[in-house]
Amino acid sequence: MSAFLIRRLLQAAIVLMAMSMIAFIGIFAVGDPVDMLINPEASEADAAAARANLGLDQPLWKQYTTFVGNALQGDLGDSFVFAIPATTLIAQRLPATLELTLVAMVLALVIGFPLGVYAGLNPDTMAARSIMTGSILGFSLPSFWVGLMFIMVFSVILGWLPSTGRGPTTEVFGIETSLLNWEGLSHILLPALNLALLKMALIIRLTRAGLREVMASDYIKFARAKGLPYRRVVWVHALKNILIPIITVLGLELGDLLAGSIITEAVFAWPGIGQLVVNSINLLDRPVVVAYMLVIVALFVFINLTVDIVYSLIDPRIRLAADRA
Amino acid sequence: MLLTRRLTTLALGAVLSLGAATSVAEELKIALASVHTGIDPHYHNNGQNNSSARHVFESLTKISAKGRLEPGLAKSWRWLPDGTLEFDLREGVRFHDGTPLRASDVVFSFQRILDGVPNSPGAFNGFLQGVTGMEAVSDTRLHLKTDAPQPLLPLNLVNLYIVSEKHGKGAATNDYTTGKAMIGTGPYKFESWVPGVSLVFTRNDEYWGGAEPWEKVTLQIMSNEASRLASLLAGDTDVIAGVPTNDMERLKGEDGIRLWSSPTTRYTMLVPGFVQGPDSEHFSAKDGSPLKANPFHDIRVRKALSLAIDREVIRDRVNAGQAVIARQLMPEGLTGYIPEYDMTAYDLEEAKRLLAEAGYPDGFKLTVHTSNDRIVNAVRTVQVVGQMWSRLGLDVTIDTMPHSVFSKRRGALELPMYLSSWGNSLGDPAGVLVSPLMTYDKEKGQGAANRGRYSNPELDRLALESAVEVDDAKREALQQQALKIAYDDYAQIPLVWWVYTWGTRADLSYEPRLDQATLAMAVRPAN
Repeated sequence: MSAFLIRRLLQAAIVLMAMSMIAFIGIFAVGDPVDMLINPEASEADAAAARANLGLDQPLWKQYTTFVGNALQGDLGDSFVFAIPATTLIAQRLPATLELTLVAMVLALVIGFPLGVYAGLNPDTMAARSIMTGSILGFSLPSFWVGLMFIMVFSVILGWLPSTGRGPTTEVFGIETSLLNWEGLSHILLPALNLALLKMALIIRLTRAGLREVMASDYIKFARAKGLPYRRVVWVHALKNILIPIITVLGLELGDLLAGSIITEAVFAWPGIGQLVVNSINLLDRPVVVAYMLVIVALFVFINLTVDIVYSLIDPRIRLAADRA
Repeated sequence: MLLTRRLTTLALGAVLSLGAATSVAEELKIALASVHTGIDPHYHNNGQNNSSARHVFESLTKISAKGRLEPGLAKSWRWLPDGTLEFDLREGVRFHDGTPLRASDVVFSFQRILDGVPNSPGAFNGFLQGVTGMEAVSDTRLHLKTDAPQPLLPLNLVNLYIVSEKHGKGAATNDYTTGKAMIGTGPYKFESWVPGVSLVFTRNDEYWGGAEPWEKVTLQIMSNEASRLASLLAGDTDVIAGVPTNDMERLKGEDGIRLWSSPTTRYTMLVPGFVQGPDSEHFSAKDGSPLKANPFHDIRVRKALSLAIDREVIRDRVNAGQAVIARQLMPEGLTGYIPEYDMTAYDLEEAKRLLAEAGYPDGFKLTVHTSNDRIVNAVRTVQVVGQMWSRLGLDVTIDTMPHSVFSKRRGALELPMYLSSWGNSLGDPAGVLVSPLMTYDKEKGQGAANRGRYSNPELDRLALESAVEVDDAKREALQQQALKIAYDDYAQIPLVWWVYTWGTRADLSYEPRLDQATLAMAVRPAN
């Protein structure tokens, strides 16, 4: 187990290094950050001074080695735009995205899973067929449009829910969260629903497909022949066996959600890292872009690791590679 | 629909009356389109930062909503015979902590600007160009010494905000970000800032100009224009900046909101490049072979291209009527405007004749570039212009890209014909002459934005002479002469002036501003 972990961490370190190099070279190839920030009416001397201030007058390799040197000490640089440490900016915005992701995942699971199970167990009913058709809408409708439609219907026309922004937050263990009061929840409902639609559709289809496959298998037939109650057959035997693909997809989707749910955050003016990163890319704010990519890569690595470990817990046949000896 | 509306309003009314506390203390929520990059007023010279800084800080001079220079913290000023600019400060002004404003605070602020704020991506020291010394002669009198006449100096001080020496001494940008040094003389006090998300102020009840009607002001950033609009329609925000042009017609019929527009000093224009050679990949003969010379060297070609554009179409179809045709590079009503002069006639036949006379009877191939995420309706405008030029006989290709890429290619002097916009924020003709039209000269700081590399020594001479002319009428005459040279030369091909629109709740009014600033001080309850 420990050899496995160490190997994973080493792989992670290599990926992080590669990521940071790509971000550096990428932004350098696109354009000049100072050009994006400086007032167009400023003189060339001002632009040159700004470049010197931000360290952009050094050759690229020197900028990169300075960055790596600082990064190893925990300093990922100050944003070119805000002059605030990049890690601080990300830490400020991350809780909002985490919150949104959490609520979206919960909604997707709580709504998607039972619907998928129902559709899988009773595939020929009208209800099941409508669920499946509905799920097609879930992943084909563009989330930008769906988000705006939600706002139009629920905020502007019906006036039930607020249209944009995050609700008032309360502090819990040093982290601000908006989930502990009704107003906060009313603000998070629409964006989370918007995000959850796609995941819901995926979960419904996966669950249904998995159940259809598993319910026809021999061991299920045997369990039913043995006389086990239907409940037990489904919840203990069938579902456990379809969990692996579902967890894989959930793991990937979770990473995807965390990476910024950019469109939903833009439409709902949700103050998360997705918005921060798009703004930073447009303004060529390299430290924030690099810091963001490193944080996301680290998160992805962590999630994949967790998923792998959970596999081995669910399915006793799976052993993590290093154990095989 | 109407019934649902009525029911909703009733329901909302019921809910709101339950939350009665909010209606007593008037809170204002404003949604902005672009981000503040910093709240330290000397950190980054950028339109959004400068306009929001005016809630907490003030400067010696101000620009009115119509673009005129007005007294700010300085109640009057005069030039002394030895070239010193003398300011008399307003009496009775106090900082938010109660300390009175002194001339030494002004000297401290200007010195901080001259010293430069670390890590600044755009400093303010250019505005103090020509100032050789500063002195606080008394608590209310200030001298700025210059060695050559600087007639624009009072105008240049508009964006230089005065901070408190007591709190600002030794304070770095971080102290402003945390609020510790955010002590100004303005109508609002700083409360909090979350970068890229929101900026919150509370009322300064002791403001020298009278207390504002809003107890708390929240500036929220909503870059997506559709959600910004939806939040106004849903009642979640009270004022929004930058109402998209396409939605104007539909919104005029909504009775829950009102729209307030102002023309601005920002215009969209096409810039011909003078520096590219005949081997440029962006123009060629129609069969692909290279042209004999850069076609834009010939004034007949430039004039023909301008004559072929019907600007009424651009105003009415592309911008939904939300634009003003730019007949010159200075808007009507500001100094430097040449009465009755119009460089934007539309005459397709004459254009064809000129093009043939210049040696291109069959036209030529051309690629027009623009950025797709910074200029209002840029892509649609180039498409329409491209079609108009096709009628002229050219074979036009459009290339649009994000501003970061566009800016780099433009700066590399690669683009022989591009669409861009220019905002003359201080409203003086110098803003159009010095940077975009004078010959590029790095040492002298001229022509920094002149990326077409247009060059006319007579224009340069007139512009330089006007820069040191202290008499207002003489200066304007010189500037007009210089501008006329650029107009006759078709150095740029102007299209339209931007019209900026704000949207408010029906029971509010907004005083629209020429400089596009969004200020809580411009919002008033409508009677």
